[in-house]
Amino acid sequence: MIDLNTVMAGLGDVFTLTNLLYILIGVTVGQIVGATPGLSIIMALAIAIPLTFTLDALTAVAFLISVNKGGTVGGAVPSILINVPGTPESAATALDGHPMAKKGKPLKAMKYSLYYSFFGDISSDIVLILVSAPLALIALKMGPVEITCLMILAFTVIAGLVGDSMVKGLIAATFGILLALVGLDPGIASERMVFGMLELYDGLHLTSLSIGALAMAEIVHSIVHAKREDGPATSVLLKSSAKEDRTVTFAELFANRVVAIRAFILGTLIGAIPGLGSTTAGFLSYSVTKQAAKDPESFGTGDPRGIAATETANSAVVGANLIPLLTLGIPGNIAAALLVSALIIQGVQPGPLLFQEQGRLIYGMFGAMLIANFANLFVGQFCMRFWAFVVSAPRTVIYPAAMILCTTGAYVVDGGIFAVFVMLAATFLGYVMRAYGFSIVAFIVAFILTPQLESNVVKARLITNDDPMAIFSHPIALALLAVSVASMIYLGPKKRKKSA
Amino acid sequence: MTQERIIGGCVVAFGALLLVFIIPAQVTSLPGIPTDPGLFPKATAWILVALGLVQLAFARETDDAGIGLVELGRLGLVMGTLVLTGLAMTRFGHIPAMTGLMIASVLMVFERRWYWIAVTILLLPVSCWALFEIVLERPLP
Repeated sequence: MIDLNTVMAGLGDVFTLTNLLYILIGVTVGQIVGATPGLSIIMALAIAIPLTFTLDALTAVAFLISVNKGGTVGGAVPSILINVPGTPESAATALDGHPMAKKGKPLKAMKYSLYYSFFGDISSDIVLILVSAPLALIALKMGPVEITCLMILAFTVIAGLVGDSMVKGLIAATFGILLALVGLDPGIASERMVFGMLELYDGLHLTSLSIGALAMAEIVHSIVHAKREDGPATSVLLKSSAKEDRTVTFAELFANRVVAIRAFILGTLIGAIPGLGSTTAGFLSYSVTKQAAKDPESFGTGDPRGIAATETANSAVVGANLIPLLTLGIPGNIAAALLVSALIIQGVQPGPLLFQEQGRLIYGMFGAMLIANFANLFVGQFCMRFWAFVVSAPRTVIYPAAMILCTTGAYVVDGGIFAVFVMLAATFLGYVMRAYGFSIVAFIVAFILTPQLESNVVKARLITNDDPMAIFSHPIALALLAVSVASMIYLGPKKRKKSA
Repeated sequence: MTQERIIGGCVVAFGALLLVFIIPAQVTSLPGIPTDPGLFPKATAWILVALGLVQLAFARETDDAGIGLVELGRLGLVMGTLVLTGLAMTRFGHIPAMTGLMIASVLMVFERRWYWIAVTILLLPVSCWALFEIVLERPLP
């Protein structure tokens, strides 16, 4: 499907000064955002999308992926220094990272986190590069009936795995489908729920919606809950007397190789499943490592195995979560959904055809991912001690700055003031959904997949002559439907039990 | 548990509203043909009704706190400020509108240190304008 020339040309495309510069900037921005408590990687990605509007496709994707990778590394800094995770992904890192910092080894803890993060990230990227093209080839053999069933499966799995209630997850997904139907219908171009507004004929724009529901809703939530006594966090002092308390040797890293390899496998598997993310990977890997250890009592006291388990696993998710996106066109998590938004802005439609139609871009993206890992290591190595100051940055400047970028970004990308109001409506919706436990991941993923779902349903109806029994002549579709039902039966009651 | 059941009721009501009023008025239905524009909106509305009924019948207590009265008031204040900023953007331009938003923001987050107030109000709107208008060459109002 992909010839070697395309692979080499794609990998070669990334080696331009502009691309390398954007990767470096992306990684730095990501690490700063990750190190800032109160700002999340998702927020950074949503804000960064409008900035990629004028870039070419490869530079834009390279920049966003670098922000994502940098954020995962940066998030560990406040976890270690102030016991407050910079990002939810790094929450588990605080369990052993902060005790190690309190023992007078903050730099050592941050270096452990950086190196294991690098290992997890690069290993999972290699898995992505190796498996995505063959998987896309298999996906290409699926027809509209199978693709429809696959999307139903994606909805049920995501709704079941994210949030506390499967019913609420499915309601959120259905609401996402409903909003995606606004505009002209793809069949006969008749108006659907446009309420006489010309601006709605093109439908609601993904960028405004995601900036509002993901980034702005979080900022508004922080402002609404701001208190008079909120002050900047106090960081652990970075001074360490002995050299061995500031550095990590290769022997020390190699001593935890089994933990790191197990964490990488767990992170990659979790990343490849739509709906699960870095936070789950970090905690699961920590828990598995602690259970497997001969001395579980040493965990939570500054054990490097705790840092290795969490940082390797949460970073391994970053590459692996692109597997469902690049092979099936299904964004596995919010970061992948935001990447879809950036690709759509650039006129690229994700899915199994991506390797055929945009092979050079995809291999360029793979090259950018690999370079971003080394840039992450480089920036982290030299700048980690500076990020300790970012930890105590005042939220009173951070939130307004993020708010101004979101508003201006929505205006610029989706062409005018109407997009700003769509973004504000999405902000309110995102806020309410969060407050009442509805999954925003399910909502956004459903919004993204609906046009593809609708087109495949129409094709499936034409192929089968509207005969529901025709599903029995499509064994793969039947199996996918059976897995959907099984996931609803298995995940639904389990979630209820957990929340009861 | 009551809150969860109310959510279920609201979802059923919304689904019914779609089926009875919004879809008939806003969607052209051509039943029987595979490209019927009304198929997906109607199916979505029916699914919402069904899921709402399930939520109504089987809802269990959750940790979701919902939105209290004080929070609702503050949310209204923040959202109102943002809507006014949107309106002011087209009327007065990007920098004055964003300066207003920044003044409101520092008040809402209780910032008292004058140097951070100065950075937020004076520097942020101009830096953002310069980033989009000069660096990215995207016209702003």
